[in-house]
Amino acid sequence: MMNLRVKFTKGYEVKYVSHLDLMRTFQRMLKRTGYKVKYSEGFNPHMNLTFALPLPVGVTSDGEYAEFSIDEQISCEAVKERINQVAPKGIEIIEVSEKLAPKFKEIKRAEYTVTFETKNSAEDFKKVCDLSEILIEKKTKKGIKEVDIKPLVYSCDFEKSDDKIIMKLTCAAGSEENLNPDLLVKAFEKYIDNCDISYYSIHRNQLVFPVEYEF
Amino acid sequence: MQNLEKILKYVEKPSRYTGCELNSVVKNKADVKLRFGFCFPDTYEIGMSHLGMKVLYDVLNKTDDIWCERSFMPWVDMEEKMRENGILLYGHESKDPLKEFDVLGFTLQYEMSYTNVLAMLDLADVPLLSEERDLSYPLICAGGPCAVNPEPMVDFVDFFMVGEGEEVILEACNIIKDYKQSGKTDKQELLIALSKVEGVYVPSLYEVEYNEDNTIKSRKALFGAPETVKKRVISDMDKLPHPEDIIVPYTEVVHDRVTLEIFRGCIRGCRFCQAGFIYRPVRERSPETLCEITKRSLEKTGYDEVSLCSLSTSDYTRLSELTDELISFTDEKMVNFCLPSLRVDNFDLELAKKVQEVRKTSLTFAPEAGSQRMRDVINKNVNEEDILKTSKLIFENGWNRVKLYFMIGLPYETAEDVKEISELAFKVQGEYFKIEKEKRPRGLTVTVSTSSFVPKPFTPFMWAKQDTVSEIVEKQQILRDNMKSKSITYNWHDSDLSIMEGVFARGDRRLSKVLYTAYKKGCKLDGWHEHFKYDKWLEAFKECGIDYTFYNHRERSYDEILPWEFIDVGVSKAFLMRENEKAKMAQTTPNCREKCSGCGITSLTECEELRKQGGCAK
Ligand code: SF4
Repeated sequence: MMNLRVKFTKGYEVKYVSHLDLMRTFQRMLKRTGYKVKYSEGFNPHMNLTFALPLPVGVTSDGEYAEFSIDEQISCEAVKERINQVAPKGIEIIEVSEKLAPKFKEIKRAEYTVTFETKNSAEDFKKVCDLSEILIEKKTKKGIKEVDIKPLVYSCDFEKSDDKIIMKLTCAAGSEENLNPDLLVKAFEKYIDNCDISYYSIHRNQLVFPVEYEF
Repeated sequence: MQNLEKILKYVEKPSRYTGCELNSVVKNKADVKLRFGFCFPDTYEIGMSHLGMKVLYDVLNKTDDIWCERSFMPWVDMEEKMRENGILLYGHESKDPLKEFDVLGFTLQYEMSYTNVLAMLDLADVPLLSEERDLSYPLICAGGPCAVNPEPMVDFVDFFMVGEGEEVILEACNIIKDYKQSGKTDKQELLIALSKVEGVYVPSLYEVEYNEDNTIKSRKALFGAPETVKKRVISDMDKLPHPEDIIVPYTEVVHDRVTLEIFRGCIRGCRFCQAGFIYRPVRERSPETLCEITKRSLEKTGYDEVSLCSLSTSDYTRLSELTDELISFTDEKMVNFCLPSLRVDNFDLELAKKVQEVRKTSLTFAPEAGSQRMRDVINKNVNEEDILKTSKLIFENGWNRVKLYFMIGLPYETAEDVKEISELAFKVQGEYFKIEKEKRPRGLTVTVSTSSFVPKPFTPFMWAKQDTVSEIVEKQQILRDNMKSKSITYNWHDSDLSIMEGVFARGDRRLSKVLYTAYKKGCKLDGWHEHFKYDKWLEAFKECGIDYTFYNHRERSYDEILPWEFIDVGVSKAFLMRENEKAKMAQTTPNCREKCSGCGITSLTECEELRKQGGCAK
């Protein structure tokens, strides 16, 4: 039995696939490998597959993680190759490892690149990030609530390229504290006078483990 | 390629609009000579569950110089965003506007999707009316079960394909491809050439005259088009490819699994069931072939469920052999195996146990009618004893939920017949209580559902009057009054939709105008309860000066020329008349395996069931 952690991408082809659908897609992909993947015991067995953190719909990524076990004794490299042979467009396994520590729940932050097509200046955006409080309405299970997302934003840098503004964002990610970058975009729209964002895209560069995780 | 990016963020379930699914086929535009848009006039979730679409997608894309893409009816939020942003309806594989394609093919699965065909053309910026399109627009064709009466759609569709599509679709595409390659642009010349292909119907090559009482006086074929259009049938099922590397959707669709077509046709001949007549004769695939298909399909898709799909699955001659063989490898691969429905008369407990092992859900039976007399009228060869015996058996074996399906509004039905539906439900309940408390599962639920019967072309009931809304409501009331029990639930539907379905099922070409008007008034997605606008439909009929009751609320005589009579589905009019006369006397007809009734299909193709009885197969 090999217990595996894989790092994979979610490309633009599958960016609109929801978390649950991505789980199902992943399971089918693993089934196509022909490997004996480990299932749970019990009356209604399901594939044991864990994702590090859900990725919001519409976000692409170069650094997602999943774990599962297979009943094989082969090299990680071989596993990677086999999965990539049967992977749908947009999903690519970048690394495979048998090292399962640090655990997924140790992930506390993530790095994103958000690209804006906008008439506003980088300065306009920067000002919002420098506020002492960023209040935004958030939908929760109990209804709409105003929250301060400032403590969740760890750093953000802006850079102008052609007619686009690129934001490098590090923010809270994990089961305890988490920021969906979409909320920050909403904040820009709220706080910037004459805000004009015609389009934006969000990309997750990586999930950050407390100690460097090396494959 | 159009830029969808900007709108997908704002719509529900965006992944149903993005394409890129596993096994979807992307070709190089420059390498193909014909681009085909397979259009399913309903949502992605429904279209992607449909086996017929997968079959034809596969057949077309296996041809090197043809590229077939898919398109569906966008949900209302998507349609709105598309219109706002000037995005035209597109092929899911290339995202190119359908307008640029050579042929768009619609599958007509149910009458209430007709307005969606119009909506999709409109969203593609293709003129709705056939006469307004020259060859700079795609040719519009249609097929599917509703094409056995194509008349209500003739104003919009350039040509129809009647019967099984695998061969005729390629023949038609090749003619179109060659014609276009030759640089010619005369649409009528091309359509005349297409009309020579067996199974192809080009409506613009016919003229219809009417009598004063609105019935048809005559039909005239022009430009050498055939007087009758014969449906296409494929005789050897094992030679027919079954799609294996089917597209695996990202988002959940209605039937999200490997679906195996184990046979075509049906031996039963239930008189209300159009499929039972138009898909004759029965042709089975062998268990060996089916197992091979399943194995390869599972490998290529990674699906974890397989289901058998046919009109009456339990009539498959080697069913236990097939299921044993399938289960032998599905279990090991952690794949579920399920059967859609089981019959009460040849109910197989072992089989039910096998397929329901993983989830012991409810069992569904369809006695279709409550009284024995009515079951004889519709030729549903099931008797009360079977139903009760089977009920007892399943209760003893741990099932506590039974669903029973019935129809109301059947021809020759009385209030007494309807009442017997409720009596039957109570008898089923009674079987449960007869079993000792310790030996039966707890918490019985019997769910009774009724739908309103819609007479369809090419059935013995095609001459019958359809019940009016008030007649149906009355019958539903009888059942509501008579089914008051804690363990019995009664479900029924509004019958407005069945009324419109009935009109278009047996409509003639004058109804194209009504469809057009109704669409312009906002009718679309009619099959979706929340979008069905009965009042708009009635308005449309009024504006067109057409009395819809002419189409469904009158009994037709045997010598009336019916709008679909020029189509030959193989089953003869004489046979259907005989069956209708027997229905009036509540006489049953044996199924094809017991005894051939000479339905006439042998005029088109061989019949294996008849051959087995020593009859002349052709
Ligand atoms: S020819 Fe006879 S056996 Fe064959 S489908 Fe018709 S009735 Fe049935």
